Amino acid sequence: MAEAPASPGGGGGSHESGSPRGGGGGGSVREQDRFLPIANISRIMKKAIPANGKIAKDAKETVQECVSEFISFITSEASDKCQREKRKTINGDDLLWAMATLGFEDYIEPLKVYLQKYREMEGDSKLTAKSSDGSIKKDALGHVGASSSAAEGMGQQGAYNQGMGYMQPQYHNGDISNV
Amino acid sequence: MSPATADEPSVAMEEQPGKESEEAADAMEEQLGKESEEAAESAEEVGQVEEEPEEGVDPAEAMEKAGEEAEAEEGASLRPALPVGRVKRIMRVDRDIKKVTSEAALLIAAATELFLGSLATGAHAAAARRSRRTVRAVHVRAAARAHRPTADFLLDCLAAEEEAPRARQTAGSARGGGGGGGGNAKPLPRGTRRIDAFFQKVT
Repeated sequence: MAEAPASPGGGGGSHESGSPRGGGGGGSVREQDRFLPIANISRIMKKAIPANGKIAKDAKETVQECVSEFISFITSEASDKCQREKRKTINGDDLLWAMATLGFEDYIEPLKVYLQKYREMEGDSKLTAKSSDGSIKKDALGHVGASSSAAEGMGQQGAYNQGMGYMQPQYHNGDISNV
Repeated sequence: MSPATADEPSVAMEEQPGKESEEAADAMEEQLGKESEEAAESAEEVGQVEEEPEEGVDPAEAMEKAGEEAEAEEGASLRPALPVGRVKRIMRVDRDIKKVTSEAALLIAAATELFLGSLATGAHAAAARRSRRTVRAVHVRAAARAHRPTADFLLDCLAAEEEAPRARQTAGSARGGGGGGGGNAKPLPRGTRRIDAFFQKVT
């Protein structure tokens, strides 16, 4: 599917609101598979420049190519490292090593902080998964947290108790595990 | 509309390759997929709040600004503003890379966000040096050349792009100059870009 990047009011200097990029026939790899969506790129670029600045469409497309090259560049270096070590799966540490090797040392500290928070969130979700499967969906919609998940669990049990009496033993068991 | 449209394919793409034997991984990816929509919305909110960042001239300031953006993004949600499924697909295109963990794809998406921010800041600085308010492709290329690690892997791409626009300007296409600024046509093995360039010229 071709994406039409709708420019918001007061945004970039693109004259046309929607110009679908239907150039997928040139190669086997489609346009949307080789580049990131230009709407996301435009949004991030606008956060980095002052409010009165404008971004031309050709600038967005050039950056679109640059970030694809960046991803391939880092991934290629990490892949070489994995092959030397006889591994088939690229993990986060390989990518951090590749960035340090290729001159992007400034990115490593923010990314480590980011990764640490991600792993903490992963740990929380695993604990939630152990208690019950139903609460995962609610946690995904709301904020992940021990107290909020407990509160949601209690509310859910109350609702089910009112509706169906024969499901009471299962959720009672869940209540014990939560406490 | 467009952010929602952009996020749905990424969620779909995430689910297909994510069929691992571990149930926890599936649960994680389901949760992450659902949070991507919230991340998009919160990213927009963060964008509105931070509409007036300071102008960064030095590369060090650009890096600091990128770091601040990363922290702001982390405060809003732990999901990057870029679709992780698309990032993972780009990671697999060029090489015979068989497996990439979700953590690795997420890390690359966050790194790409930092790279994008620093590149945009540098491009705006280049435009300001020329008394321009609109950032164009030529300013992006100037910013890329100013940053040594970036210039290393973009050298061939940038050189190819610089020659084609000059040829166009020699031909004397005023419309191309006004609309496109610096054309993006390049003789690299990516034929899609040429078709797109012709399309822009006609517009």
